[in-house]
Amino acid sequence: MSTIDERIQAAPLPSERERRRRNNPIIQFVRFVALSWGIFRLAHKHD
Amino acid sequence: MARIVILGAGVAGHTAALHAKRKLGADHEVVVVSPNSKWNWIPSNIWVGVGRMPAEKVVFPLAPIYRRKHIEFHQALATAIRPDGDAEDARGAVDIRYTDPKRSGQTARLRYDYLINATGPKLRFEATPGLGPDGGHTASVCTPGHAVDAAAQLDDVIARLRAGQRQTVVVGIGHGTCTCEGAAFEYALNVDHELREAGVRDRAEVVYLSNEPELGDFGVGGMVFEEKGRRVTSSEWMESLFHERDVRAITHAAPTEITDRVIHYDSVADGPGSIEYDFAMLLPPFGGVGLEAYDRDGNDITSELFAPSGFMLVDADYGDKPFDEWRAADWPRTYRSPRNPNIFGVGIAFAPPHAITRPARTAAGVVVAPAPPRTGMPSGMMGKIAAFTIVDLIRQGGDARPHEAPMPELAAACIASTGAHMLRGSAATMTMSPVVPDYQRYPDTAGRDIAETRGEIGLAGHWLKRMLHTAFIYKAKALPFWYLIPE
Ligand SMILES: Cc1cc2nc3c(=O)[nH]c(=O)nc-3n(C[C@H](O)[C@H](O)[C@H](O)COP(=O)(O)OP(=O)(O)OC[C@H]3O[C@@H](n4cnc5c(N)ncnc54)[C@H](O)[C@@H]3O)c2cc1C
Repeated sequence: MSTIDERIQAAPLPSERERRRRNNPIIQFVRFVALSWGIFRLAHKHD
Repeated sequence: MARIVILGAGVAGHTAALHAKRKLGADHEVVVVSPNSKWNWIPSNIWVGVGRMPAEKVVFPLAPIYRRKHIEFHQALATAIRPDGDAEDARGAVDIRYTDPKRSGQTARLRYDYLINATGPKLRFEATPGLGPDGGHTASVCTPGHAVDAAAQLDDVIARLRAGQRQTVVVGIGHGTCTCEGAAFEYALNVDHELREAGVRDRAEVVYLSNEPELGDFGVGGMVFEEKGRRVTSSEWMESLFHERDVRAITHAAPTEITDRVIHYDSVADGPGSIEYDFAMLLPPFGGVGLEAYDRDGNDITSELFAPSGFMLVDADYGDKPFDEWRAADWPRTYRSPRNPNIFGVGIAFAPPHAITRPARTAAGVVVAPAPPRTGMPSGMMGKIAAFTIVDLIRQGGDARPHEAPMPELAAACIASTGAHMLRGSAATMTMSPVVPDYQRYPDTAGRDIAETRGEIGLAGHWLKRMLHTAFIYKAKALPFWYLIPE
């Protein structure tokens, strides 16, 4: 069994495209709205 | 007129007090007992701890809010519960010791008809020699004061790195039975972010030290997400993030002793080890705050109300059974004390029936057993339903059906900051439903509903966390329409 550090080193890095997506303010604004809505719905569902 | 006494003004207690008063108005009394004069939005202590936010932004004084809402506030520590009253009065009572400067040390006995225990955790730094900021060698971010000290120590690390020295920063848990690994994870990645922002990351080693069997376990047995049509475990997700950020990890381990330079630990797979450090932020294990209980004649009945850990016994199944036999149904639904149904234990103050992550021991017998987290969203929900149950009991009498908030049905959102900056920040946004996995109901997806259990990393998460900071402080200040903001 590999050690945790070996597993970390073997774990895939995000692609350049994914990295850009994570930092792109426009895409992230859309994600912000979607995530906020999702969490609000989840909280209300169990409220 | 009924009198509700609430012990603790944190997420659970403050939520309970505001909802109870809103529903009951002037007809009934709501009383809060809490030792601190200020309310603290604990999740943002992480940002105070890396110097991104001043401590004043995460606290505000409670007294003016309680005055405005006509809630009686005693700045005091509760010391004992007398559920059967005493020789003078058969009503339940709580003994308190004042902490406010004017009455410091004075004691009083408050009568109640209903009691909510929301006293949160005792920070048990004493559990590991050398742990903690007071008398130990490590920093903490559990209180705003601790976080300010942590930020100062991190500044020193950055100064030494700028001077060309190499530095090792260890972030994680300070004992094998800790909970709140999510907070330690956040702090580790925020430290990484700050070191990058300062342009000194290449000379620093950042190590995450945890009792979790694998990364992404968080004391809830890990999660399974669906990502682009593929199942991904939270451990794979976190390993990838740690790789990207170049953060090392020591998992399934428990610190055993900490000196001013070295953390000694024992690990389940590899046995004893040690790591030299220049700065360490290690969270303490939690225990109950040590409330005692007495019957009418003054006999000690603490063990009838509280588990040995000091957490309050509620309507859970505390039967002693092997780990593999626990069920989601063992978890409490109403948070009422079986001995005294007019007493509730909510938030961190209630005793969980069992661990969610499988407990383990090292070859030397050191316990490595992440305790179940009771995060903000479920804690707020518990406070709210306890208040609503009491309101119904007052209005409808003893037959009123109690409200329920079982953790095997509740969902939680965990937005783990991985760097604070409006354009260069990020966070790992995770939702899980339910919090306590139900392996009977969801056998193929690690006990959770795959449609509501998700993970996503990006700048949006940072904005979300910042928005929640503002929203929850607004809500806690009971500003107009505060109750529309969900828990
Ligand atoms: C650093 C850190 C970061 C965190 N980040 C997150 C996060 O991002 N998201 C999340 O959901 N959760 C997070 N949590 C967990 C979250 O803070 C808890 O879930 C929440 O605070 C629990 O609420 P509580 O009311 O049970 O306890 P607390 O909020 O701790 O409140 C307990 C209250 O009881 C009072 N008290 C103590 N002793 C007594 C006594 N003897 N008598 C009367 N009152 C007493 C205390 O002063 C306090 O007011 C974090 C925790 C930590 C430590």
